[in-house]
Amino acid sequence: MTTFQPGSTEDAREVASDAEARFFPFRLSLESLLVLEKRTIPEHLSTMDCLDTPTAVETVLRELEDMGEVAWVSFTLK
Amino acid sequence: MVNDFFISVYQQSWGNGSTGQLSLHQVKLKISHHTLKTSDGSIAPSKDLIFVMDDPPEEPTKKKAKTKKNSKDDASTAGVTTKNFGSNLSIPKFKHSSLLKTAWRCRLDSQQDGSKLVMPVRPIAVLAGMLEVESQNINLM
Repeated sequence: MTTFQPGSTEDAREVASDAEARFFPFRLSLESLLVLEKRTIPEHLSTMDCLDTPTAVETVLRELEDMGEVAWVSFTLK
Repeated sequence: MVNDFFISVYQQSWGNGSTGQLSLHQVKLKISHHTLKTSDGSIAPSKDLIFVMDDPPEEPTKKKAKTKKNSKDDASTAGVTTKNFGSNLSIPKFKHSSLLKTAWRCRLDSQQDGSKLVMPVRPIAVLAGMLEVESQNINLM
């Protein structure tokens, strides 16, 4: 069992160059799963379905768009 | 590739007794350490971000005398529960399990310029697909 702490860009360079390092890289794609915390979400977004639920990035962005926070209309989806 | 993603939207605002008025607003989305490509809607890393693993906690040198009070504390911290599931990752079991996937716990930060930033907090393990429970004991982690 292990826990994680966020690292900075400087940490990333240092740790990634160490073959013995213990780290997790952070890379996103539209299919990556996000868990958007309900605890810190603004009041007007508290009814979003994806909160505290593993949801693909694409769906999270769509829900934010539906709530009026993020418009994504210029993206051409595959 | 662009560093910031701007899009123009029309937002209808209603005043007291008015019939509504259309005004132009710009909404900006950012995903920490990533950029959005407007050409194909994909996401690409723009700078490095890592999560550094803490060393496993050391075993306590002295065992606490078991009392009713200690037993209650132990019950709240021992094992995987529905509340803490995924918060700690057992990497060897994680890599070999078809039932687990990595998800990124994120918070939504409001920036000074009015944009919203999706900021990663830490990786967590989530169940992929349905889990068939044959008994009351579930030991995924």
